Amino acid sequence: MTSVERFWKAITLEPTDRVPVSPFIYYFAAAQAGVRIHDFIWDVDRRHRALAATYTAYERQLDALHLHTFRFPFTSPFPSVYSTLYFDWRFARGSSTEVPQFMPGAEDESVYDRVLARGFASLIDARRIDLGEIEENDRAAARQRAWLDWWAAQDVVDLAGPMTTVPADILMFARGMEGFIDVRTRPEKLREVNDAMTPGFIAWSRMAAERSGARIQRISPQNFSTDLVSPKTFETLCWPWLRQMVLAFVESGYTVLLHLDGHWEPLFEYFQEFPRGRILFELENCDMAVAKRALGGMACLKGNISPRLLAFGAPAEVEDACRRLLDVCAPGGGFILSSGCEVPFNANPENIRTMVRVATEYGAY
Amino acid sequence: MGRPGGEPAPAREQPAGDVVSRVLWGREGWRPGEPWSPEKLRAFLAWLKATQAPEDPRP
Repeated sequence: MTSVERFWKAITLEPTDRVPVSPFIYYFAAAQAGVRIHDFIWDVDRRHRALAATYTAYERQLDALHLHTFRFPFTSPFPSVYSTLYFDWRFARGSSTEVPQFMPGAEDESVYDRVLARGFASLIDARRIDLGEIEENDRAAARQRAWLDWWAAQDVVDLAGPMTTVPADILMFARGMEGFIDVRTRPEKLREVNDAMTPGFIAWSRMAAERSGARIQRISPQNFSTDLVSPKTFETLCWPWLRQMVLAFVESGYTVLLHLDGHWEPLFEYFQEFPRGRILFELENCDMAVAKRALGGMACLKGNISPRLLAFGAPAEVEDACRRLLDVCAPGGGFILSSGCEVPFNANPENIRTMVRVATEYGAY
Repeated sequence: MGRPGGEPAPAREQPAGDVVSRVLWGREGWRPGEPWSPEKLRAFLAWLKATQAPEDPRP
């Protein structure tokens, strides 16, 4: 069975020869290849060469990888937490190892009315517009397409796709920690923004996927995990629009990847209405036994070996964690062995090797 | 159907472009028939940079 077959059968909950393995590799690849973080972000060729070196180092067993190049989200003209037009990301250009730092916004409470009246473009900080990099994106996009063709020829699934969220989630980042109280003091503003802007967010993601050929739509409503808000707040300020997005993407033929950092167990019941075999839950901290019971019959789960363990644990500990996870999640299929969110920059390469070996040996059906 | 004088009718608006335009420009800046396009957005960013952006003082 090829990686492409294995991955997509796992998504649609069909039998596979083994559990697919796909640690969430970003900057770890740069560290392994000795590529400067700045080049890894902005230079398409260096980014993909580094990832290809990592893929080869693990004997071409990684079934799926995130293949986008960060220059595109960092220069996105559409509102996104990752766009430098909207948010203050600090790049340590002189450092070979330091990853970009996100600086939360400090907008006041008038931001909702301003965005409703004059749009998200009113939030763009003109000082951070790098026209040279935006122009360069045309050339970079051609290189990116060439690399995606190369990866397809290697039998690797591209997990990247347009990344979006419910519109109010972005304004919660723009308000920063001081403004988080808005979920209690002005919930009607968050709902108003979601109502007005969600159709445009859906339309943009569809257009972006059509341009790039992506089969996956990624949604990550980061401020609505139960680490941060109550289920009631999720239900009233996030769920109706998250549901609208997921169902719109599914109707358009996409697989929806829900990247859910933090804890979401009390919210799993909401997701049970989604169509079977069309959703991939990329889980970070959730109890995977709970996830398997609640969602295993309708969706593929991906997770969630602890980044802390991958960085500081011994290979024997990683092996034990992988085996326990497979015991819980592999039966019946619909599971992809992965890290809980990102493989850290400083992960022990032997721990990733162990993860791959356990998937290919112990994860065989 | 053409306009009087044989001028072709304007192309139908792309609804997707319109709703994207509304995200970017809001209810005051959004105009049906002026949908979002990459070229317009790039021109807008160039204008914004030229008219409103002092040099970033950060090193």
